[in-house]
Amino acid sequence: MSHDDRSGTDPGEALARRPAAPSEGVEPDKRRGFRLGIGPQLYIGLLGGVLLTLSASLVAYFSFHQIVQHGSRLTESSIPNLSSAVDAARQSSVVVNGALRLISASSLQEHGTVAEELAREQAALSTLIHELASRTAFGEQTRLIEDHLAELSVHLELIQQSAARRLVISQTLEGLNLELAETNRRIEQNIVALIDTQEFYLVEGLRRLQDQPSPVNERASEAELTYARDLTTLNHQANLAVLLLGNALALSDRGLLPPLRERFRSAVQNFRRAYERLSARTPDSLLGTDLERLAQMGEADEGILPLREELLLRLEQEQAALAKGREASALLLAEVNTLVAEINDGAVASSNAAQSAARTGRLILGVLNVLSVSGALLLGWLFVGRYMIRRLVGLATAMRSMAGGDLEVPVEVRGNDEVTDMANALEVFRRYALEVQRLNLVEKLAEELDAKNHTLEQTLEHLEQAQEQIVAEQKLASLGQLTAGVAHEIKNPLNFVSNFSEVSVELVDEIEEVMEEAKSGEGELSEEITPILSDLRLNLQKVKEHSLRADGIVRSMLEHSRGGPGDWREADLNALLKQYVDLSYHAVRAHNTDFNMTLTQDLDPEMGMLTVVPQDIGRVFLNLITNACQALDEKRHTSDGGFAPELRIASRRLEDHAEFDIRDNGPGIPEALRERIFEPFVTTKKPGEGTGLGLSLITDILTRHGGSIRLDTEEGVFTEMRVILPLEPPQDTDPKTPAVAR
Amino acid sequence: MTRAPSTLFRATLGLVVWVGVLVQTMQTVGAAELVFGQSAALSGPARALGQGMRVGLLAAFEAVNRHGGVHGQRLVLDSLDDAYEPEAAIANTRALIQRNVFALVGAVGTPTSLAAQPIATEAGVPYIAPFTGAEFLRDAELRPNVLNMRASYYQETAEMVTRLTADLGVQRIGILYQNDSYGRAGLTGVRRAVARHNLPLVAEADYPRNTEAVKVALLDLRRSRPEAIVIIGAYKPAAALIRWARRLDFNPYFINISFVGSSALARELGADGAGVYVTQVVPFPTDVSLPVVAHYQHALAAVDPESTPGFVSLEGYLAGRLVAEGLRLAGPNPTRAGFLDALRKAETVDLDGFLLRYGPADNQGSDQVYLTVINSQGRFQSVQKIVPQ
Repeated sequence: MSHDDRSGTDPGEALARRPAAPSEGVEPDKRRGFRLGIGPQLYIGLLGGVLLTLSASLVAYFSFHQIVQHGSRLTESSIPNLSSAVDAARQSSVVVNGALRLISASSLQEHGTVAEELAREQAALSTLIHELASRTAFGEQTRLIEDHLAELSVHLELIQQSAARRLVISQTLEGLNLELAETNRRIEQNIVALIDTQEFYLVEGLRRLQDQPSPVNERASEAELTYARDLTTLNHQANLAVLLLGNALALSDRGLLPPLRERFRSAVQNFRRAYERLSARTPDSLLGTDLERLAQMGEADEGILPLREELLLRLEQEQAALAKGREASALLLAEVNTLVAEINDGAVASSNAAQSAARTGRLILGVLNVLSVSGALLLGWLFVGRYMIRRLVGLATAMRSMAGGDLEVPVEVRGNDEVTDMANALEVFRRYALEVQRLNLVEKLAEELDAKNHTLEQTLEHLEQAQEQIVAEQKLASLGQLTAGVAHEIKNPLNFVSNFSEVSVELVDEIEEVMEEAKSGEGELSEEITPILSDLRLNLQKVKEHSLRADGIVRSMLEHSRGGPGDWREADLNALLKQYVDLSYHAVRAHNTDFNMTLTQDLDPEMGMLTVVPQDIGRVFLNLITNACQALDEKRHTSDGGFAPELRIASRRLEDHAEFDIRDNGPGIPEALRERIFEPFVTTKKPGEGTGLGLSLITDILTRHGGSIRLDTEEGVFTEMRVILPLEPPQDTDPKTPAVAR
Repeated sequence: MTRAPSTLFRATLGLVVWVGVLVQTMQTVGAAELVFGQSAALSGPARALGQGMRVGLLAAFEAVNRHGGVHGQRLVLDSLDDAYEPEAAIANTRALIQRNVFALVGAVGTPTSLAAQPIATEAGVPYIAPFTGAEFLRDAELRPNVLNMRASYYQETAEMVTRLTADLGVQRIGILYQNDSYGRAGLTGVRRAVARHNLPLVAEADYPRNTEAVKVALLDLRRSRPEAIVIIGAYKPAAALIRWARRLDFNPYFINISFVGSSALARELGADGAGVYVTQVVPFPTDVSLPVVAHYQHALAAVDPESTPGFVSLEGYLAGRLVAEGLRLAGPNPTRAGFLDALRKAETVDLDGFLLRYGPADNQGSDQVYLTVINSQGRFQSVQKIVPQ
């Protein structure tokens, strides 16, 4: 905090001035030079989102483009090619089938229709194959296919032309067949009638109803008989010719035609010969015409036999052409199949490529989606949630806590944007507020401190009073303890005073008697009075001596119990020690009259005088000795009769300090208490017997004197306290300063 | 869930009914008229038969149509010439079925019917009143679409033999038959008939169909000296045989079967026709005591005032009336099956006195055989018996 210079300014004024003139002290975060506002941050986030979306769109676009490309390759190339190929295959079978239909066409009309259809189908096939050839890269196949197609076309052309001709023939033959039947019927009717008439004439000699019967020699003449035979021959041979022609019409084996033709020729020859003879007698132009027609129907160029032969030949050729056409078609089909397989491979490849493009696109889109979503989440969570909201919430919390009066927590300033500005402003505000609050607080604290100081002073006063009281009480308590000893000590001088006073009174009486006697003159006055007076003087000196002694005891008692501080003076600590041994011993004995102990003294005669506060050191000795005596008494009570209480005191003057030992053979101090024995309120005595403050006071006193105390003890055997005092009093010892800590 | 199917059902039902009506309407050929097909010999040696049947049918149809048709439907006849040749009959029948005629009616001849009827049966087109008594058409089970009107050849030949034996006590009977299915049907009938009378068939002679080459057959017949000759043939060869027999003074009883074509035979024979018998399966065409004959004469005069009544045209007329009656019984919008059923189920079909009866196993309406003879004026007359010459 370096705005001590502003501590005096009005915080409100400072806040009002803040935005305009930020001081270096309240600008917490100036270290970042690059500043990125929320707007830019949002724009960057949005830009990132847009970029992700754009890239997703791009990926989708390229995937779709790929798929569409493959798809269109499939639809524009593979599928149409495949479809064309399949169509071509189908079409070729349609064409071959058409050829078959062409062959089996029963009429010219049907043939025409079929031929037309076939031409269309052929054209369609050609178109298909040429399309296929132009579109596909399979040149070899398409060339072969076209070759086969050309071959097929040749065969088809042959079949078509042949079949057309054959149908014409067939139709002619049909007509001839009908004509044959008709001619035959006419011939038969004619001949049958002639035969009937001739036979009847041979029997009855009658040709017509109105005729007269011919004589027998006439009707049975050779000429009549020959006529009858010729009629019969004519009938038979004509019938035979008709039959042969009928057979020829039904014949399907071309090889059988020549013998049939032979027989027909002979039949024709026969009936012609017979008719020649007949016609010479009864010319019947109708029958003749019919017979000639019969002959013509058989043998003429457009007769049944040549036509039938041609028809059968054509049929054979057509069958052969059909077989070849089928072969060509099969080859074509095989090539188309190969093509289909290859196109299909292409289609499968395209389809696979499209699928793989779709898969890749899907994967990339998925990744982009995950990226977008996680980016948005991250943006939302990190930027908005963690970065913005948290900071705003932090600011709000900070404001709330400021409103609640807590200005101690500094506002967290992070980032470098508008929120940071807000945080900075808030921090500035907080610091001003804090400053103001602190100023108020200092004043308040000062006041409180004053009040507390006052209270403390009062308390201290009370404490001092209480301590004084406690010390006084302690002194009184020890005085009380000493009372018996003191009384005993005082009793001796008082006894001496009393006794010497009585003796003195008797001596005064003697003087008076002497004086009486002297008055009365009886004796020698001066001689007699002078020894008495010297005795009296002696006595009075004794009284004075013992009175002084008593006075000394009382004074020392008074000193011991006096509330005020003791004075540093030179003192004979050996004597002081002895005095307090006596006092303590007698004090114990006052309580327990049967208490006895053996006192051993080993005092250093070279001890000399030490500058101490005698009444404090006396208190030290009193305490230690009293403790020893009480310990001995306690052990005497608890042990059986064999115990001989013993107290040993010793003193030594060493080079730079003096030592005073007080040792008893009492119960000793338990191990557990040894460490704590010098702490206040720790005692081994029964409740009511000691305050526990004794050794604590001793420590204080000795510390004041620059000395110390050491404990050496063995439980059940002894306790030895060694008081160590420096030969010279401490330098800073102010004679005025109390030796005993308050 | 329950409403949709019912709606669908109703819609389907409606559609089915509608389609059914439509089909029926189409089947009844334009609803306003009903076409009947005829394949018969309108040319050739048997042309008198085909033409006669056609005129009779037309007369009947015209008469019916004049009275408003049947259930409002006019009857139309579509006739094709087969010249009595089976091949042509087949082609004609196919063509007529192609033209969706309601029924085929008035076919002429046994061989032609033998060829045409299976086609009609296969197509399910009724084959009504053919001008033949051939037995194979009388099998109702095999030919459910065939309804005959006239008595069979067996019945005619049986009547001939009965008359010859009962009326004249003839023992020696010969036969001239046309060498085809018609002639053989007659031959079989005669053989069965004489066998029933324990008589031999003393002479069997035949002639090629569509020829008049009967003279050798005549010689063969004369050799066996028959008392009577049954002729199963066409009028020209029959007439040739009779005339040549008369020329040779060979005069047995000649008795022809109805198919011979009575009027043509009489015309052909001229003076030689006297005493030649013909059995008939329809009433005498000038016997106006029968109402149907009177109606026939009116109807015939209405369509062709020049023509004279004859047995063939009467048979055609009766066939036309039978068709009209069948349609009337079948009700409006007749189906082919309904038409056939209506006639089969009718107890008696009364064509103004000419009674016909059909049954489940009986597809022949009339069993009537009438006997006629050519008198010295060359005219036919109805007789009950054959009288000695």
